[in-house]
Amino acid sequence: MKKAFIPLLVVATAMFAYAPILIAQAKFESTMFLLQKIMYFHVPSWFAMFTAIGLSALGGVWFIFKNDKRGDWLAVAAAEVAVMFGVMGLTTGPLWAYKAWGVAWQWDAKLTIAFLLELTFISYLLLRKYGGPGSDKLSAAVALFGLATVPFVYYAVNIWRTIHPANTVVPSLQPGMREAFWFSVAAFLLLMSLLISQRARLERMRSQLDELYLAEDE
Amino acid sequence: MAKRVLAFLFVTAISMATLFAQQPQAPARDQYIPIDQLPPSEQMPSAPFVVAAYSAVWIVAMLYLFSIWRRIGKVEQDMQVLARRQKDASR
Repeated sequence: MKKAFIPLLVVATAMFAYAPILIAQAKFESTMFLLQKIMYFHVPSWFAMFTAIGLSALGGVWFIFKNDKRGDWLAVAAAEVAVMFGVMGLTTGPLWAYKAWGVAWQWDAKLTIAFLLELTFISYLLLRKYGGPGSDKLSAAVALFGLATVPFVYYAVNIWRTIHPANTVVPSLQPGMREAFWFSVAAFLLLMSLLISQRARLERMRSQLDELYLAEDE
Repeated sequence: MAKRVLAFLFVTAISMATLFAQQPQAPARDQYIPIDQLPPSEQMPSAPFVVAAYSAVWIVAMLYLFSIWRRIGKVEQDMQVLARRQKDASR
């Protein structure tokens, strides 16, 4: 992954540069016109966040049951990347809402649970930073709770009365819109993989540094 | 007695405040006005929101990537310092 990182980063950058062109060429939605094009970056950012949360929980489980440090590195890296994609989702969404709804934020079920999910992973990172010994296993449990929250975020529009657009928007995308959307999703998932790999590398190096300090003390 | 006077004054003050707080309302529109017929000051263009959303994604991703690289650089520096110190100690 280390050797492939730079070429893949170039590919991801090219995809992010080309995505707006593809999105600009995509058909306009009949009610929101240009504003709807925020969806091409907003929804993929949540897809990337949910995937990162899945990886964080997977890494946590791997670490708890196999006691393998690599699982912990993956868990921490994916949790931090999930927070970053959450910031993207929580920034692009209100920009769309300000024009579409007339207000940037509504405390409706979908938005509130999404915000709580972001707070869950911020608390994960705080726990890792200030939790002391044992926080690695405790944070794995937090990641699992975060993963359990994901379906509530996704299906909130089906369970509660919310003003957020329904989940049927993506499956009902017309040809000409669909390609641009899935291209964006691919770009976001590639970026997510690259960021997790770099962040996990940082965690591995920190672990090596700790071992070196311990060896020096002995 | 004093309590009653105070209560009366309090209720009167609240009532007056409510009365003055009610602003004269604009007459309600009796029909729908298409957005393109609104004056330019009341129209909100979409383009700045779309550009802001795309820029936000780029900026957040870039800042995060640079923060990872900066932290990696710091750990590498610490490792080099440690390696140098161990080398000096072994002499």
